[in-house]
Amino acid sequence: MSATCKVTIDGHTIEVPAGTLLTDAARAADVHVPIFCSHQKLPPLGACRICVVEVGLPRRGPDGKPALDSAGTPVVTWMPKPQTACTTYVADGMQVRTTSPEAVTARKGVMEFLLVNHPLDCPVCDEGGECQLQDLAFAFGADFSRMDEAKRTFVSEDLGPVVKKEANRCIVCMRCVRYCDEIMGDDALTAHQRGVRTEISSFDRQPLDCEQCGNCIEVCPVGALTALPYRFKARPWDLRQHITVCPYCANGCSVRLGVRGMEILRARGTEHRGVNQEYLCVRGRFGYEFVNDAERLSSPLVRSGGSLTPTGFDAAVDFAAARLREVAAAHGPGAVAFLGGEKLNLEEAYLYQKLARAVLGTNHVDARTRFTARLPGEAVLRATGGGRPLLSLEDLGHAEEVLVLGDDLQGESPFAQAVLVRGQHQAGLHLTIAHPRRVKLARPKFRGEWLAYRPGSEAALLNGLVRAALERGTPDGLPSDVAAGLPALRQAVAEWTPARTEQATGVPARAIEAAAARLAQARRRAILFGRAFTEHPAAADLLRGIESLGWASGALSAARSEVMYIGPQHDSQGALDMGLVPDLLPGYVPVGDAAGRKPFEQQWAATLPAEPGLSAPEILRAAAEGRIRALWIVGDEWLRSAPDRALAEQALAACDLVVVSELFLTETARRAHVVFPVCSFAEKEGVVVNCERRLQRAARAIAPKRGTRPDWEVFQAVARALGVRWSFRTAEDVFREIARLVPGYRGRSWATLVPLGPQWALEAPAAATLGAAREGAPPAGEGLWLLSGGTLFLQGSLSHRGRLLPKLAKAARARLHPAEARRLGVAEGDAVELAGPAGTLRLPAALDVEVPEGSVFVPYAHAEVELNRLGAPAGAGLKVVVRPARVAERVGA
Amino acid sequence: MLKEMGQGLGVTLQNLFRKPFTVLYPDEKLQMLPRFRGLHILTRHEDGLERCVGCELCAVACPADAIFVAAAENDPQGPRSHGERYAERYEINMLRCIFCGMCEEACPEDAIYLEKNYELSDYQRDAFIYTKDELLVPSEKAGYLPQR
Repeated sequence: MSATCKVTIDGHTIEVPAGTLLTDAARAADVHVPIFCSHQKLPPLGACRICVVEVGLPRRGPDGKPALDSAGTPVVTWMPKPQTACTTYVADGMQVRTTSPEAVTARKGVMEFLLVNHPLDCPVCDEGGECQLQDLAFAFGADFSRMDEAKRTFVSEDLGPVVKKEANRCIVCMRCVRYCDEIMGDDALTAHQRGVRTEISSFDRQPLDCEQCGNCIEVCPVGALTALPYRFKARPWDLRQHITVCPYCANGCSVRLGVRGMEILRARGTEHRGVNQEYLCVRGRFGYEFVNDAERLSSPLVRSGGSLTPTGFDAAVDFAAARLREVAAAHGPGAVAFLGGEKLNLEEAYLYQKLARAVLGTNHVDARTRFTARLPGEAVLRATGGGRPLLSLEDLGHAEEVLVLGDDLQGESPFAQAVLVRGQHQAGLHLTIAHPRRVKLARPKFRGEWLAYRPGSEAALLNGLVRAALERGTPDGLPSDVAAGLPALRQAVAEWTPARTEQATGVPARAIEAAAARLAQARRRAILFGRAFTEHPAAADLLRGIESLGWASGALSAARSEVMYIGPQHDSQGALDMGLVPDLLPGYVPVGDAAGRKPFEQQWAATLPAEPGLSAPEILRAAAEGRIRALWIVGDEWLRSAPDRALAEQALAACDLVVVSELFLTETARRAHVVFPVCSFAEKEGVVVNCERRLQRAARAIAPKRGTRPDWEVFQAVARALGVRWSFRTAEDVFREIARLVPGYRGRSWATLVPLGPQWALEAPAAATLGAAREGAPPAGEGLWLLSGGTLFLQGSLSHRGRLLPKLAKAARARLHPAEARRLGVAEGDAVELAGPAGTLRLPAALDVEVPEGSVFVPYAHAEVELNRLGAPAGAGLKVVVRPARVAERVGA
Repeated sequence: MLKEMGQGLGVTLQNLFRKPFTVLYPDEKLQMLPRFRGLHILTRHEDGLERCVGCELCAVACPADAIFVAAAENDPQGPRSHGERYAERYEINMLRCIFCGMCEEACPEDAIYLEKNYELSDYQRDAFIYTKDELLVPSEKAGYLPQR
């Protein structure tokens, strides 16, 4: 059988790969075949029958060759009845008719059946104007119905705060049920009853208990499922649609914002576009509310006489510049530090560090404000293959074995989770989830392996995995430096036998060996890690461990990398690439490398400091101790994100100048001397880099709110006030400079970054640093291990501003294993007090079997959870004493 | 030349004694033809509820982009219209309107009609944006639909 088939559709002959569905072949031939139940991400079902076409195959003679008629053309045997194109695979020589009288009559009949029970409420229905049933009824349907009987009716209901169900409109295509099941992995929807009485609802007919992603609404071809937040807000023709990049996680999903006037009314995915195509998570779909918020800052604020007073932009710029100059003159450039920037666009991140390095002459720049320990800027790059071509999110779905290290993807990277669920469901992907807690992907229904290591034993787990992987032999395709380093690595991890690893981590030896074997044997694999490891106090060691595991298992090779870093913010990768770290210039050029520094010095016309600067946790300490006198904090609620709250408060009080660029008057901004109001993601354009290192240009959807500017304009204005001549007119100008100067970005063109840019790679990958991960020092504090992680519904202070997301997230709970709670004498809902080395936190408790004994889980994304009040983690992490709040009161009294 | 002058003045004299075409507006008003299109009305059902459900088909049909509709959800206790949706705001910019009647044609609910009122003048431009209060017929005219 040949790999491709020739198909003739309505007279157009095309060649498509064997195994293509007729609907896809028709799309390739530019023939319109209507569909309802068929969906690009779901296997064929054939539920709605609207795609019926006439199909014929060449008749074969006794010799197996196509029979010819007297004119010499092949004889076609037409199938006796029309076939559904969405379930029919192409065959060589297939003939298809979509417009023949038989096909047209059949389609008209199907349409009449679909409309038998469909109400005529298009004027009221929110889908009206973008409804596939409306369009196809208009195109193919009759203009009257022969249906005399009463239509079947259901009661409409709200399935939770997101989904409105109007079952009367449902055509039972099952897209929502299948999407929820196969891609979200939630199984929240089902079909009740049979035949004409079929009704889609939750299993128990209660509000949906799911990720509330709203993808069921998106895939519904009719108005049976509509979005409550968008209910009756507008018609599709009212909206200007702008495709931009979601600001909520490192996946970089394309989101289509619908704007009416100056207000964003909804966000949707776009079929066939972006890394995510149609998918959006709940944050992406409903998290835009903060852009419309009335509390947004609209004027720069300058502290005068103890309070922040609104002032003009130029005055604020002059004030900031003058004070920066004073501090730098009095205490040297090393007294100025720049924090934050993971939420900046690439161009802005570039200018931010340029302002620090070229204008003020300091290397105290760090975007990674949550980090608890100094981590070399190159550590993440090395762990992900040193800049070698990286696997994409699409490749991730086709991997055979995926190891997720320490991250709860549901909160940190919902789209990657959906990719994995779909891969598991449809392509036989196997999951190995290393996480102390039983996170969603570790649940039995995804049939993966759960490596439930004890908190604090991350290093032991990595060493054990490295050893077990090396036991399987040396992987192919290693670069020479790695191949040379392998014997030493083998020796370094020799003591980490599976038995010892089991002893140290609590993960069965068999599971470790099996996981390493699967990883080493898979033809395509992936290792994912994120902030759980990078924000760990022993991050430098853990990242070396991940890198070693990558090389030992074959996930890293000379040609490519299958290790992906999922950063905490949507442009974390871009901030790293642009040198928002104390020891690297843009493009991973070490600041101490004189030859590498030269092009930057020439372009920037400045002498750059060669000493690496202080990292974020060091800046925190230095500022609290008065060694750093001026701080600039960009897009970061530092009082919440700094690892130690008390130190951060001291630091803000001690500094002579604190400049904050923000959308809102956050707690941090309240303590600043100058606050610049800046644009939200929807109001500016620029490039963002997602976790697959893909450059994507985010478009401007609405005009900046009055009084706000993009961050880069603020940086440029301050730089000019400090006496340098920057003359960028647009973000594109800045990008041109990046494309001239920065390794990995050289030669990139702004025009090619829409809709999907390329994934960047370094021509000369960084050298590997193999080694065993050292076990962490003892943790800070005592009591139960404090586990924390992301929440699906919230991410960052901006998500607290809307109404829907905080409502969905509910109040934060301290989650305890029931056995642990019994020991502590805590019942569901009781207030408990968490006491760390530096402070306490009071929360209601929740019992959760998914949290391991000996630990307490508190999500960090909620507004009311300020974990940094407990004290900074150290060594292997942080432990807290948990006790019922009444006892705590008694002790306190 | 005198002959031509006489002819011209003859025409003038003829018209002097003819019944005038003009009417003494505003004391006298013309009877409008049945299909004349003037200011819009928004009609009501017999039970007094608004016919308009805020579907915005009038707005999208309008070639002059003169209509703005913002819909909202009915309070089930005190609905404004039949169905779940009603027009919270309904505005027509009469300076833009070209009185083509496409809105009337597009309306699936018989909610909008162009009536005979042509007396549309004011001192302020803003006053030409007719709001829902001005367009909706009073509740005494519930059930009224113009003949077409």
